[in-house]
Amino acid sequence: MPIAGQVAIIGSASTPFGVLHDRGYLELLGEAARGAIADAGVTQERVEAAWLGTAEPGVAALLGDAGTAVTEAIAFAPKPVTRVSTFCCTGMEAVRAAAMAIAAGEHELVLAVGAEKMRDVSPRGSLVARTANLTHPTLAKGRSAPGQFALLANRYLQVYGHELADLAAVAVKNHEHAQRNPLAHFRTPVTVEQVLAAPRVAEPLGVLDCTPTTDGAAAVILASVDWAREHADDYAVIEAISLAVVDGYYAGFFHGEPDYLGFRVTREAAARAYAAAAIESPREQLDVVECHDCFTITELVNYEDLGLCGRGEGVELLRSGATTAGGDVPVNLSGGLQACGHPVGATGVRMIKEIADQVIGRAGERQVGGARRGLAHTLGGPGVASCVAIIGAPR
Amino acid sequence: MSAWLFDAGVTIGRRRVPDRHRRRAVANFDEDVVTLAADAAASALEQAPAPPEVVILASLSLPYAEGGSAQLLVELLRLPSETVVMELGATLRDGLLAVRLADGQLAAGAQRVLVVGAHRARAEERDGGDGAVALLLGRDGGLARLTPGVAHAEELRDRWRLPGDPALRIADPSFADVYGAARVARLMAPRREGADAAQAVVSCPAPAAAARAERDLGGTGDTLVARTGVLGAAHPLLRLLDSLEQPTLLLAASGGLGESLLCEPEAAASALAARARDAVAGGDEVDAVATVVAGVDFHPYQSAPRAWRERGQDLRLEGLRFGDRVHYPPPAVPPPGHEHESGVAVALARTGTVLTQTRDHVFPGAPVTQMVVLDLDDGARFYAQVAAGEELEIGDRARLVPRRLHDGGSDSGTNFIQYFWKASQCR
Repeated sequence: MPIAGQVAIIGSASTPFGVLHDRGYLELLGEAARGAIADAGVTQERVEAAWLGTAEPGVAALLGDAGTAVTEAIAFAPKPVTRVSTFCCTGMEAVRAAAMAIAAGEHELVLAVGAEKMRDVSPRGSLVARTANLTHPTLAKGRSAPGQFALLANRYLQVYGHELADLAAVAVKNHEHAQRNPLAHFRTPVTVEQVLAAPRVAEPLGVLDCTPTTDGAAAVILASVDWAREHADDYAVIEAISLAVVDGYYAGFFHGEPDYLGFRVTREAAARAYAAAAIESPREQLDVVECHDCFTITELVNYEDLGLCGRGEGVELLRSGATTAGGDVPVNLSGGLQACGHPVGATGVRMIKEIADQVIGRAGERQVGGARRGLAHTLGGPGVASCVAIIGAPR
Repeated sequence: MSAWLFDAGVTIGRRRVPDRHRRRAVANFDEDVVTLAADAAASALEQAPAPPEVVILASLSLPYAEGGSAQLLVELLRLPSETVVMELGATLRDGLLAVRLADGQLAAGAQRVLVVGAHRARAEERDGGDGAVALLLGRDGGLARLTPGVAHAEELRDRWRLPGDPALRIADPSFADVYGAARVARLMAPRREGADAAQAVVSCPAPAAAARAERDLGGTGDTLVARTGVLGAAHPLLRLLDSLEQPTLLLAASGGLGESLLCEPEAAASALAARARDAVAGGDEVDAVATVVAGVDFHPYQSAPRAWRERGQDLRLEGLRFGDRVHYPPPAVPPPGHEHESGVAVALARTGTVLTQTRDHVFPGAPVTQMVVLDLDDGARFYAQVAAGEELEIGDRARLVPRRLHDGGSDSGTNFIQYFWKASQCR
């Protein structure tokens, strides 16, 4: 059977996101996994298989290089564990892979967990150093993650005539939201002036335009909707989950197709997810959205690529207040990657937990009244992979 | 038998740094003898009807002490792989020795020979400058006839370097002046066969000594050196171009080794002289070498087999054309609509327009690394660093230039130099 409408999220958990010097990779992974199992109200013995999302084991002593990390962290032997890795879509892809196992009828209960330990080294020693040192010796040499998205920012501002303050407004909104998320890396509000005055990272993006480098883990337990209906107190339904991949890693930098004003891959993933969930008007049919705001510019183009507004209209949508708490389609009420941070493998799982909590009605101070359906979105690599999940309340 | 000069290219380090009595031409940190030579050679070959069969590179600062550097020129210039390459690296006079060797190759049947002299001055070369000169030589009918003259060899050390020496050893200047290279030039000059009417031009590592020797021989002195410094093996070739308005006896000496060359220009050769002087006259004035951005120091993963496999597409800057569109890097499989085609290997356009850019402050090495996305004139797209010391904005026209990307390699067995293409302002 297909995943859409047939797979339920029956439990979830997340560690705090932040610079967690007192906890190692295995502790984070274990804390999230055990938390999700407890939240589901099942015993670990009943969980039959697991999928692990870790994108950068190279910065954590190769822990998470294979699914065996789950086996070690929660004493899961001899059950099957598979590691997946799809750049920044890694966590959501772990959920998608686990959901396929439920949809296929292979397992009754499965675990999807994402974990990343990035801050045992400095931020520059983390992804920046890996990007510089371990990628192709010549192609795209000089690239960093912020530099990649800064290319969009400069072109977006130039083509549409917007200003840096329009980018900064995204950071202001998401940091404001994060004050109501006790698990966020940063919970301090920022002003446009502070964002603009922050040191530049990759022009025009400054430090406060960028997601921080963060440790964290998140997990969900999946079952069939039939199982959930019979056994679970609360659950959410995966109405659709779609992964799109449009190119290779280095090819993505060079191929002539991108217009540097958005990401085709998000539009592809969203189109498939919307078709599966029978969504024709995203802005009207979605109550809440978590999207991949790794940099401020990314959230603006995500609005457009996810169909919340037309192309080139992202700034207007933000200015309208529609995506702010209390708006008609609030985006990143968790604080997003801007304030939660981005432990790469964990992020997609955290987002799905956030939307599941919203439609279950247990999102605390962030709760959107009457939320019945939400969207989670991740974007990976040089804009070559994207995952879009539609999570709804049971019908 | 004489060689004929058909065309030439000159590349001088962009920065002009004052040092005592002259300005030294200093290239940026991402340039070396290979990139300077490639740039000059590309200009020399621009109008060539066919590629040269022989490339002779003369330099005292070759990037590879052993293992060869000239093969990189063959790749960067997209020359046939059967090109004969030679390297000379003993002393400054090797610029003229390269012409002697070229003359021999032409006499043996070659149609065209590319001679390149290039130099990247070491820190201790206070009179040294950075630059390259390329000459395209052929048989009869060019712009100037070049006839090798007498040579000289004796044990007379004015500058040298032993294996493992981090720096050049330079003899006392008074010795170099009286007994060194200038003396060799004076010894050779009287033996100027058939060159009595020619003006004498002397090149040697010590500019003051060279000037005195040249004046002793009736010459006017080196006016270029005050604007560039001594360009090593490229220097006598630059002086050759500068003197294309009249017959000249070129003398070059260092280390007890001397070469002479008689240059008899046609009237049309004066355009080449003007081009060379333009190249010397340009440049950006800076106060000190310290303002030149420091080099990149990081340790990327690389391997010799990978580099070898990909040379065709990176150093030669080749893409695959399917239909009316060029793809770079060449796609692993044909693009949609061309499933049954294998594509045609083509050289990428070297010029394009900046689609977008960023100045990256976190990429390690340089304080700021500017990256650009170029829409090339043939429809391909290129993502590249901007050449050191330059800046580009959206909408600017740009060209791709070979540059030294990094020397990294955490494995000591593979820390070879990586060259690639950067974006540079269209001048």
